[in-house]
Amino acid sequence: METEKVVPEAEELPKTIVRRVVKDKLHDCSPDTDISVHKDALLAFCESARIFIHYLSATANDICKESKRQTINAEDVLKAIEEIDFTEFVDPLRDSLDEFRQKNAGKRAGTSKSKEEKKKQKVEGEASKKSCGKTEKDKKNEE
Amino acid sequence: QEQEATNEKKKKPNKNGKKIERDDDDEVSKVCNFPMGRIKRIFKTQSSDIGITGEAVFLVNKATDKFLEQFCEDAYECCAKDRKKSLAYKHLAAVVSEQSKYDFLSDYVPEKIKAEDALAQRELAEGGEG
Repeated sequence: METEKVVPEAEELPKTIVRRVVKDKLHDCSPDTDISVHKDALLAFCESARIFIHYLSATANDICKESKRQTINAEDVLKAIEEIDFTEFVDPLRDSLDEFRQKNAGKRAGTSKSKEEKKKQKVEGEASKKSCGKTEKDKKNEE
Repeated sequence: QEQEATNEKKKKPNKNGKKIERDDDDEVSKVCNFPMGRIKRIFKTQSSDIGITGEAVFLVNKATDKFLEQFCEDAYECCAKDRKKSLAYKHLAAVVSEQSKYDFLSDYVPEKIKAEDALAQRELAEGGEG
C-alpha cells in the first residue's frame, strides 16, 4: 500500500487544473465531438507534467551552474527549453515573460515609489538633524 | 449571541479561502495556470542548494502548461488515428515511444504489456544471453 503514495500530494500538480488544460485542448482539437479522457490517461498527464518540471529545472540547474551562478534566472530556463528539444515554446514564452515583466513593473513602480518617498523623507529628516548638529557645533566653535 | 455565532461561522470559511488563495498570487494566477508555490516546491525537492528567480518559476509554469497542451495534441492525433472517441493511456504511451523529445518520459509512461508477454520476453532475453 505504501507504494501507492510515493510522491507527497504537495509535490503533485493539482489534478483539476491538469484536467482543465487537457479538456480545453481536446476541445480545440475536435470542436465537434466530445473526447473523453480515461482516468489512467489523466493520471499519466499529471505525472508527465511533474516529470517535465523536474527535467526542465534540472537542465536549467546545470546551465546555471556552468556559468557559476547561484540563482536560476529566466534566460537559464529559456536555454534549458531549447536544450530539451521544445524550441517551439521559446518565442511564445518570451512574449509571456515580457507581459509578466510589465505587470510586475507596474506593481513594483507603485511600491518602490512609496518607498522612495519614505527614503526621501528619512534623508531629509536626517539632513535636518545633521544641520541642527552642525549649527550646534558651529555655535560651540563660535563660543 | 446567535448572530455572533453565525458571524463566526461565516468567518471560518473565509479564513480557509484566504489560505488557499495565498498558494497562488492573485495577479500571477491570472496569467498562468498552476500555482507558483507548487512549481517552486517541486523545484526545491530536487535542488535545494540553488536559488530561482520569480521570473524563472513563471517560465517553468508556462512551459509546463505548453508542454501539457502539446502532449495532449499529439496524444489526440494518435487517438484520432485509432478512430476512438476517448483518450486512453495507450495513446500517451504510443506518443512517448514514437517521438524522441518525449524520451525523458519513457520510464514514467511506458507502453503496457501483459505480464505473460513480459515474462516470455525476459526468458527469451535470458536464453539469448546464456
